[in-house]
Amino acid sequence: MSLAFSLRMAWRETRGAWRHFIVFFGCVALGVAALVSVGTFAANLDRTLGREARTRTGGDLELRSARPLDDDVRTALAELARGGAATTTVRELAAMARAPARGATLLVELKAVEGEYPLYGRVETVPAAPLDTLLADRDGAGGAVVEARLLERLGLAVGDPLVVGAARFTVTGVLVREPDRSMGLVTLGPRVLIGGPALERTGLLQVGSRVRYRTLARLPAGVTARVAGADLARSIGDPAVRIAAFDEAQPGLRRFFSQLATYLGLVGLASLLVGGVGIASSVTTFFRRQLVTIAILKCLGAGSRVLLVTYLIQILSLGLLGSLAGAALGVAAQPLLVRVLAPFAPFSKSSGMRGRSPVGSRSACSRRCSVRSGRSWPSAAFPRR
Amino acid sequence: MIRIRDVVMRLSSGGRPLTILDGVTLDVAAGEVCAITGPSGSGKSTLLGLIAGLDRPSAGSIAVAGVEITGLDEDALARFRRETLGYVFQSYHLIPTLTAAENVAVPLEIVGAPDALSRARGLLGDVGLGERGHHYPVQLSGGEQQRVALARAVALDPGLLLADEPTGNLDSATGVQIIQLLLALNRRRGSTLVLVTHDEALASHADRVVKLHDGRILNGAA
Repeated sequence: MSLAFSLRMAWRETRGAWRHFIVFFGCVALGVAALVSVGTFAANLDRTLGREARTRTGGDLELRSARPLDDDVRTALAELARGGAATTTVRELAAMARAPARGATLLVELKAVEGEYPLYGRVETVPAAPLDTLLADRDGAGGAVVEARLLERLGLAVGDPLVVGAARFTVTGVLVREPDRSMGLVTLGPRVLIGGPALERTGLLQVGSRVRYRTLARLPAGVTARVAGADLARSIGDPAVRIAAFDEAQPGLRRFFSQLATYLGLVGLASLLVGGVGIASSVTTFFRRQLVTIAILKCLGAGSRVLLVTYLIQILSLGLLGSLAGAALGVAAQPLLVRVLAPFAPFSKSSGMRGRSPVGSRSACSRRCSVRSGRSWPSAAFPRR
Repeated sequence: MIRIRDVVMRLSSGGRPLTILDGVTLDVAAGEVCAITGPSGSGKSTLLGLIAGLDRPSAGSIAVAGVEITGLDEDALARFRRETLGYVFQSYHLIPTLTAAENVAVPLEIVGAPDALSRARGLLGDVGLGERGHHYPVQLSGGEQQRVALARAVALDPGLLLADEPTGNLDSATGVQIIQLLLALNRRRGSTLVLVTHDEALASHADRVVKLHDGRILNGAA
């Protein structure tokens, strides 16, 4: 009595009752597809976040504080620079921008950067030009690169003047992509990017101003960010300065995606359990119908082990095939999953798609009004075009 | 070939004991054709099932080809059946998901016989269905299905052939063809044939007729 007989019988029985197994196959495939699609989605997100962590942080190390760094910290940073590190300072604050011709005003997120910025990644603008050139002073006015929706809201165009605080600027470009913009749920307004010296002229840096000071450092090869960060924290000893390595920055973002993946995983698991009821039902019905065949086989001399192996092979093979089909379906469903989840996410999907200009998605951006961001889903979550 | 002693079969029906066979003693010699007849409910099919080891008696002993089968477990009984006997059912009991040739091949495949399918096609040729091997049972008439069942029963050349009302579901003309085929197959192989029937004409082909009534043998016990 051979395994060959069990294999042959399993195949013949499946061939003869394939309609019956559609439910079984479908339940397994859909359940597995749900789990695989969520798992793949979460893994892609995590991998992308890891890969882009330096770019999104803006450096290997980030020092964040609510006031200018004091001398001790500057000394420590100078020591780091002597070791081969590059540093740059970014200052961010909320401000009112005004279009002088129309008198319209808009709350904006102002960001002043220094010459080395960005240390990782690159700022994409329209027109494409070096950031230094775009932010340079012209005719006594600073250069400002702004998001497209600011132009729309204030009725401005590239080349028009813009007033922030007491300083005059000229809009020199449209901001398409800003590598280190944090992914918060709420933003106050569109981004306005200016040079560091120009910020001084706005008169906004006063006692009580809510300015976020970020000092970014790119470490030389061979220096571990976490180790360097820990050393720096020890030498500074100022709890008001928060120091984070690139892989521990933006913990909220990772937590958000982790919780999203957990939630979707639970949904997938629930669907698999519900599918399990379907599986159990179809298998029970099948075996009830097979009782006569089993009795005939026993009458013809088939032992219980042969029968057990025959039906185990049949059910396990179908389960395996259903799982493989489900896995393929889960992977194939990735683009669909991203498309379905995008409207529920606090991110603008369109601006994350490669090859599409945010200028072209202005209407979608403006519909999201202030509770949006011009930032993207991690690129791996979307198919690269 | 068959030695049955004081076999009693009791079942419980609606909480009350029901005696199906009541002290049956019977011997069937090797190569003999024995017909068991009797009215409906007399215990004919039950007795045949006990001889095949499909059921267990409440008391008594049954030895087939020198093997006492009442003490065998399920797997030993399955081995006993495939090594000793072929069984023909009244309602054919072909496996619906298998073709005619595959149905006949099943006993051969169970024992791992080489060329099971080609041998099965040869057996179908013996019963006049050489061209119908690829048909499924549902595509065959009742008579054709019973011929496939006959081919399957003799596939392993058993020493004992048991037939339970083999013509019961067939019209009389087809029934005659089937019984002639059954007797011819049995003669050719020289096996023992025990057939259950309530058809006197069919029973007349047997070497010996055993009459059962209310679970007791009225005549022809030995």
